[in-house]
Amino acid sequence: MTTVDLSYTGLFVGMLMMLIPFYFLWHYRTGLLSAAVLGTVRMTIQLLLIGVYLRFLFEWDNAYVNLLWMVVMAVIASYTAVGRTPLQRKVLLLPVFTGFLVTVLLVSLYFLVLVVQADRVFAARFFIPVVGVLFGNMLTVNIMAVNVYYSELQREQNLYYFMLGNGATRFEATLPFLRSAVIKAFSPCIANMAVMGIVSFPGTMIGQILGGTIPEVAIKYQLMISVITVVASMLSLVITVSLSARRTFDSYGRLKPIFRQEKKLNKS
Amino acid sequence: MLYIERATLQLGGRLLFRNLSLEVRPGEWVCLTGESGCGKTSLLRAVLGFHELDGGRVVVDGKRLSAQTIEFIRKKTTYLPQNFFLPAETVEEMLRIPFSLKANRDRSFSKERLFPLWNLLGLEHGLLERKVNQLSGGQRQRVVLSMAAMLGKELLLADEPTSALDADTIVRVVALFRKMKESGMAILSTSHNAAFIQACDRVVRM
Repeated sequence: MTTVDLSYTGLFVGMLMMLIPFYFLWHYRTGLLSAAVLGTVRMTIQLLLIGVYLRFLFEWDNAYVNLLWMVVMAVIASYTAVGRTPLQRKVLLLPVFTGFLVTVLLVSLYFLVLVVQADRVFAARFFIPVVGVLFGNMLTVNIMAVNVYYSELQREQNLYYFMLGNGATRFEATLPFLRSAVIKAFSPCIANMAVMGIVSFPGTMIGQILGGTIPEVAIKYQLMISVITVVASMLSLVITVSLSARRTFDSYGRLKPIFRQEKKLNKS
Repeated sequence: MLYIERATLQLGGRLLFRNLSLEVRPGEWVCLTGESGCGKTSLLRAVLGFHELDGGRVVVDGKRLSAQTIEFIRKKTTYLPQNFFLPAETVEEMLRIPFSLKANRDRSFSKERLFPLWNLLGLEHGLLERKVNQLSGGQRQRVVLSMAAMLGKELLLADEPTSALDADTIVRVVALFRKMKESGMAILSTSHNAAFIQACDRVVRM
């Protein structure tokens, strides 16, 4: 099979389809039209720029540059993740960054060395896409889980204090909140896996097939990508929550003033 | 069992109490009373280290409250906050939660010990299989009190344990509190209910 490239005219014609959701967003007075237009423009520019970066990365194909690229992605992903939680940046940034970096290294190496058995593990064509897909998934799950975990801890303080006040260790007292965070963050992943291939055809597989790969190979890669994204999401979440505990709880197990609003209130 | 000496607490820039001292001996039931917002709940929380005192000290079973002793103190205590919901499907699952904690492994849940307590509190045994969200506020409050009695720790801190109960049921709860203190438990509770306050050994007005 050969790859059928898309012409820029084709891309433009494809993008015209966005006029349909834009029309209905306007027609229903959702107030989302400008955000949707801006989002589409940003997505287009970002992807075109990434295309340029990736071309250079693939041409250089240098292990050190690729590793540096991974660190840069970890920094950007951590900033993005923490920025989308109500917590102070300084509290969560290092735990999230460490969680992302350690997880991406462990999971991508396991996958590329033991599963793909790549000759050059840090080669751009293997390392960059794997790292990219891991970051994307970890980001979504971490944002959701961290939000649920700390928001529920703050909202259900009486439950947390009940647990501590009856002898629970900090881990035991936070377990109901961790459980709730994991359930809410992972339910969509699990539901997606359950219907994959029947209701939904995932992006990796579709992309590979459209790019010319035979379906059997595309399916094997899709299976592995699904596995490593779930593993990486869970690992990074566990590392983030464990490392953040020292910064978010004091020696009595009390939640420190870690929310952005509390910081403002303390200052005023 | 519990000794609070010259405790001062300020929260959000507001002074809740200053130089407050009280003692609760084993087998004694002390009730804190006073207007809403006077610091009753905060005092209970301070005993467990949830609020840091601005002055004074808390001593439980001979150990002064500190980051080093907090585990020991919480292990000796049963704490019942106001309006809390345990994450459980059925009443039995809810009752078993504190017994699953490492600190309480030497204490066991048993229906043989539970049902006499429920008889005292006027709860039907069939409630045990019921879903927690099907309980009324009063039933939930009594179920939680029976949990405290079953845990049987040395110190009970109960925050408004009768807030959702009618007069007849409060009489039953008073009977349970008497039973707990007769077993040697030291009890510090808060309440606004006159009948409940009258029944305790000592009242501390804040």
